[in-house]
Amino acid sequence: MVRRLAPLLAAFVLVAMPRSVGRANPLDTFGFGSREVALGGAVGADVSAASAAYYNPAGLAGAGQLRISVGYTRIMSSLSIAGADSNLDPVAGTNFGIVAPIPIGRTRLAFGIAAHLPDNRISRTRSVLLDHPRWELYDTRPHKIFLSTSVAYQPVSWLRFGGGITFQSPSALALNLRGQADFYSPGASTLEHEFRGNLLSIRYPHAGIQVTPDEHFSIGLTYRGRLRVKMRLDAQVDADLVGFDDPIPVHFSLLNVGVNTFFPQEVVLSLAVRPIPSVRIGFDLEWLDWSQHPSLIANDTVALALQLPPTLSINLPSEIRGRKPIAMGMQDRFVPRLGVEWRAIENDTLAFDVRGGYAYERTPFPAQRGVTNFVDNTRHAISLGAGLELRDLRPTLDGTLRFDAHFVYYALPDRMHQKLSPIDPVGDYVSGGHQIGFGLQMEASFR
Amino acid sequence: MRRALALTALFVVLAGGCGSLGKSGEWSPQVLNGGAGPFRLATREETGFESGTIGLMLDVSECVGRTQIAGDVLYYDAAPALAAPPVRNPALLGWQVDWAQYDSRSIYRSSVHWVDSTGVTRSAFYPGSPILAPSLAWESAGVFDPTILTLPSGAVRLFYATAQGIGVAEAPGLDGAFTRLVTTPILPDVAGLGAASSPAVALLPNGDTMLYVEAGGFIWAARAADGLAFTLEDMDTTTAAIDPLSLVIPPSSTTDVDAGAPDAGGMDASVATEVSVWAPSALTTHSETGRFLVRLYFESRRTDGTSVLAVAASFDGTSFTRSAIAPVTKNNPSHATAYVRPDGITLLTFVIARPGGGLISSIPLLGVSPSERALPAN
Repeated sequence: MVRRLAPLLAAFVLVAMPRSVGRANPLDTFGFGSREVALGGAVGADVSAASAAYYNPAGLAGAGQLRISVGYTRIMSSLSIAGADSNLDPVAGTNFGIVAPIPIGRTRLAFGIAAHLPDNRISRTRSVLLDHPRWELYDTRPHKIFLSTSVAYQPVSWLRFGGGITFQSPSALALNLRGQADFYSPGASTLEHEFRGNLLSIRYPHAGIQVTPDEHFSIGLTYRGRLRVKMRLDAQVDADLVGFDDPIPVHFSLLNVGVNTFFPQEVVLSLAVRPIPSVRIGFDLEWLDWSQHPSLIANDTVALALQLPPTLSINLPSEIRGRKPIAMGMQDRFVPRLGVEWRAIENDTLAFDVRGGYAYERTPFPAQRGVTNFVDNTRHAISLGAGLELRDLRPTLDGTLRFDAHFVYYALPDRMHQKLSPIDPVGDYVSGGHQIGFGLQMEASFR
Repeated sequence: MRRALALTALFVVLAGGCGSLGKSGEWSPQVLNGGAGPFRLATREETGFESGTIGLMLDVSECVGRTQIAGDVLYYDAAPALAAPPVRNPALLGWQVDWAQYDSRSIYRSSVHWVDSTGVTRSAFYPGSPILAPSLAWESAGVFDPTILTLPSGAVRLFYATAQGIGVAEAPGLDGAFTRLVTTPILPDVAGLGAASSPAVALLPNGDTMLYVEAGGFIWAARAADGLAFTLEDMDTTTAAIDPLSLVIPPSSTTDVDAGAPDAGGMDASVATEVSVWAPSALTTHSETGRFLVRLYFESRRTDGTSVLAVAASFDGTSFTRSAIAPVTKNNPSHATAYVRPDGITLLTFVIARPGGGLISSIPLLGVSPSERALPAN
């Protein structure tokens, strides 16, 4: 068996090698699919629905039928910093998924597409203000569209492997201002502007393998590449200050280059057991390479050329120093996930499942004691869910319909951020709170 | 089959309905707990004064020296101009008040907030009544620069400056009558530089009282276990002389000044033009995580004759770290004091010069931090 597995494992390792591209999306933070979220995300060993495109693409080959799913999920945050509500937008959107298996002799090939379309926006980006604390993982990162395509293959009944790519978009923005600015009557200024924006495309890989030695036990291994979403802002002002005897030329330039969002590469080891036919227990252990997080502080280059008349008594600085990157000081983390599912009812016409899950997400961010204020807390995720499968739908549908629902509660216990400097402008603060979410999903399977 | 269709229809309605709820919200609010500013001037709506200088918090005809808010009470010193004032002292900076042109200063108290034309009580104050006038021989040049220390018992101590040192009086509460506690001035001579002035006090967690004063363009610290018998603290034991507080900006925080070596005299050589530091005021507070802090607000005077406010803070009352950011920079502000409201807003009061009538006078203004928060009506 080892001889037969060797080429496959080699292929897996090749696909899974770290690349310079990666990912970040709401799924990394809140999961994908009602059943999977209800199980705490501990599904990598045996997932076979469209959500396998996110959790373990090998699982796509486990779907014996064409599956089309649509769902909705919504997470509301009640998080605070220094006692003030952080006003985090809900993360909500519609999920879509398709799994299309193709039998090839006694083997099976499968294609899968998974997508999350946010309600509010396609993507949200925001430059970092050093003295403005923000929830780094929940403020902007989840507000992005997710689109992933995968392919999987099942050469024998006990083995599946697969891989795919996910798409994200960094930005390159330019702003140019030209014209005349009236020093004494700003309203009379005649400035024209030109704005150029490029939302570029990057791709990052994911790959996985599932091994099912028997019907009671399965193992999974998943790799997800890292994401570095870069942002470049180039602002130029070339204008004349008027209102004096002679116009005064002003030139100002700001070049801001930085990593706006990062999500680390990760490896997930998954186990699933069925001690009795009606009970499934899943356990995932996730390693996230957070220590490689680059600085989110952009590298600024600022230049100002302006000669004001001495009569204005305005002291201009001889040099405007831009910001320089500051090390994030983050640590790798292991995230254990546990999910239990009980099939309460099963007969020829329907099946009904009850689920629960738990995940412990230790924060990779250090307490913010210096000049940065990237706030994050350790998070406990407790989830519940249920699923109803209708089986006797002919002649309208030669297949099944599944309806899943979940509720999830995230507790973020208070965390203290005590500044090293007693004169830090932000000062000490406490961060904490909770998040709650729910989701619905419908899946149609076609025989 | 009907159940399936009904469930499908219900699902489509729910998902479609939820999916149309999209609405983009605001960014998270700013958090500025450090008391270092920047401070904005209180608006006319916040002070209640519908005309005059923006930020004005007390409209009196007298010249005001320093104001101090404590709870809902305002203490300040003021004096009317002399009917025949002497010629202005040419050695003073252009924005400085020549107190020789005014009557001896007294200390006033106001506990009534301004009511604007719509009947809403605002943050400014009505003129107060005198609570302490010069009556002892060493107070003859006036009593001024009041600062308030509330004791754990609820009693209130008033520290004030005279031309010959610091005086102390006590009242049973913020609105009580004051009785003098000392018969001779405290710190009549500081390191040979003259009498202490501009007192600032902080009660430490161990029960000691720290007194910060100005003398000779430096800020000095003294400590008393009983709150009255103060002894100067030496802030640099490597030298034989008693040294003032070190108020240098750490190099790591110099973002808007040219870096340089700290000045051994207690001023900051990294602020290239700083020549002296004056008029301290102290504020004790606890951070949100429960740490004790002393903040010291003071004046930084520059070689060009201008003044900016500066702020430093300490966990122990003796070792201070200075902010690289000036909380207020315009119009030569001086004699700043701060007060943290129960809702976390820090109020900064300071005076600026008001020319007119042939004399340089000064008026008190009110600053607010965090600047994005609005002062509610009282």
